[in-house]
Amino acid sequence: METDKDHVTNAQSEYKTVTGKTHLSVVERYYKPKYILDCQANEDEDLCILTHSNRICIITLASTHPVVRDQKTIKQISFKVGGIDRLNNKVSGKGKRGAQELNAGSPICKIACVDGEEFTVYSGIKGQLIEVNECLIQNPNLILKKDQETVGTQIMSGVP
Amino acid sequence: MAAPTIQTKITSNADLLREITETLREIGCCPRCILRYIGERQGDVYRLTTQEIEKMVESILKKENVYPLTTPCPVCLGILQTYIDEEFLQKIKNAVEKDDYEFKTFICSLTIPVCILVREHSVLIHLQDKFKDEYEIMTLPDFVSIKEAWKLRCGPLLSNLINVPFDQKSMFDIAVLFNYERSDKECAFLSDEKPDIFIKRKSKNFRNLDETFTRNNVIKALDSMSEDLFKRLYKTPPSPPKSACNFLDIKCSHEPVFVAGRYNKYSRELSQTPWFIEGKRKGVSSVEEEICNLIKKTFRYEEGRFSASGREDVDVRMLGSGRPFVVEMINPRKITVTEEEMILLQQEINKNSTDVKVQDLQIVSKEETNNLKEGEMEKTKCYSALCWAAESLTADKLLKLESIKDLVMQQKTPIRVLHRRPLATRERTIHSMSAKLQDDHHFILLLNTQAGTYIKEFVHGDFGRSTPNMCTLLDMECDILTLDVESVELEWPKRLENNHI
Repeated sequence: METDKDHVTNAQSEYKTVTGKTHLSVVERYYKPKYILDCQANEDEDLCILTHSNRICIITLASTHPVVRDQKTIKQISFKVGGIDRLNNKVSGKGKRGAQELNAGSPICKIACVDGEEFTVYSGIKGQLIEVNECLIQNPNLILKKDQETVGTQIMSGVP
Repeated sequence: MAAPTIQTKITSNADLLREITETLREIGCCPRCILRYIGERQGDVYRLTTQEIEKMVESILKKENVYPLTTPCPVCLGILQTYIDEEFLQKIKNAVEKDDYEFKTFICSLTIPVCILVREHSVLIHLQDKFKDEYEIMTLPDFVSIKEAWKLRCGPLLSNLINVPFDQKSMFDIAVLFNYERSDKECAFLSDEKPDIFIKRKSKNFRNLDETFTRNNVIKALDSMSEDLFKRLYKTPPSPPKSACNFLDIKCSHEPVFVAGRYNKYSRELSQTPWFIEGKRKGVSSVEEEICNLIKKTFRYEEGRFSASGREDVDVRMLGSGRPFVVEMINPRKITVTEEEMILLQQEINKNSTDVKVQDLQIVSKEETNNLKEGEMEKTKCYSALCWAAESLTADKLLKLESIKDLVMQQKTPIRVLHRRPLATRERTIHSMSAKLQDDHHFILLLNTQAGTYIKEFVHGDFGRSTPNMCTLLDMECDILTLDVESVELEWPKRLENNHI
């Protein structure tokens, strides 16, 4: 994966103990979290890239991202960004042909909060888009769940 | 038995027959090739000894002491001369015995130099020129081929020699390979004239990359070439060869034999097949190797192809009555074992491995192996999984799961396998489930599901990509800690008595 080393910290230790658990969670077992701080030079807009050993990545908001940190109420999440509709992404075959190409600066979605604030989430890494988490359209507040707690995270996978 | 006499449909005129035979003799044909070209088709004639056939041809010629020939035949290049005598058959016998195969019947195949096709074509054109009425409508398949003539004589002799019956459908093949050094040179005019037919294929799967002149190509080129053009480019009749073709090799091979059984796996660190990541070996062994290493020792095959009715992850145990599997043994030296030997082999495999046990080990037919793959998608599987729930559980809450029947689930290709499989949403059915409480946060989930269901994803949900899942059913975060396959509901191969693990 091509990522700027200064912006990546491997903070696996943070995950080791979660109350009431005697085992590692799915995310802890199979994914290495890599952080991209102040993504696209936007202060505090940190991403957590969950990297599977098979090189598929899941782009999530870090718990320090203002949306998650301040537990904002989300009005809408839109995948129409920068003239591209991420929902139109279609992949076929083992090689995921036809995937939209992503660079670190490619926008993935827009989050509009009830308080009027808007955030654009960027890819943060280079890769191909496999899918986006369409659940977020119906239920945008899923994005507020802590990123390692599975269900609600925003999913974008790429093969960097 | 009366000695067979020549019968030919080419002509009933004895003088004309003599003339044709003389023509063939003049170009140097061996007696067997002469018989072929004068249209003799009776197997009994070709079974005669070389001396008897020589006498026969001499009587048609009304000459004596024409034979034996001292020069190689320009058509068969010696295959129906020197390579048909007992000395040569003895050589085949020795080669077969050296390879130490077990076989009940045999078949013999010849690989002859490709340029013989051109030479045969040339002789036929020569005959058509001289005897238009008799040969105009004849094509090469109308005559007994060199291979047929060879087998008619050598089949029974070889059968006596190795003491095994000849059978057209035999699983055991004795391949005799001949080559002729000048073969490619003699065919060169074909590719000069018809280059499009001889374009080299670039496909990686194509084995004989070096071979420009294949049998098919040459036949195609000859068919598309006019007689006049052929005569201009090649000699009619063919020129006498400088030497006979060479005997290259004898290769024996046996059709695959299949061994089937069921295996159990008691380890969470053993994969089903050898596991490589970017060329590097992961894990020391595999189910396949634990089973095949000893089977190979018994059947001494060249290559084993292991397949099973489905597969379990490396960290999943295979319990109960096991998972059906089959090993396709390519080119086995041994093909039969007694019931006792099979039980012994099974015991040896089981003694040798702590993590893998096999049962119902048996030889099966090729047709039967289809059951394995057909059953793979149809049959249901039972699992037991140790699960964790984020919130405190009660037995009541778990009891609700038992009322859920035939739950249809939408499963997107799990992320863990997404790198090597296409993205798709598949419908899978959980036929029934039940759960036993272990403590506040743990329970054992028993499942009966359609084949192909991803169980781990059914429990943890794979980021909401498998729905419904245990998290949505219990309305809390769930996770799977260990998984065991309890049974694979496939009644194949047949259960055997007396084979306790």
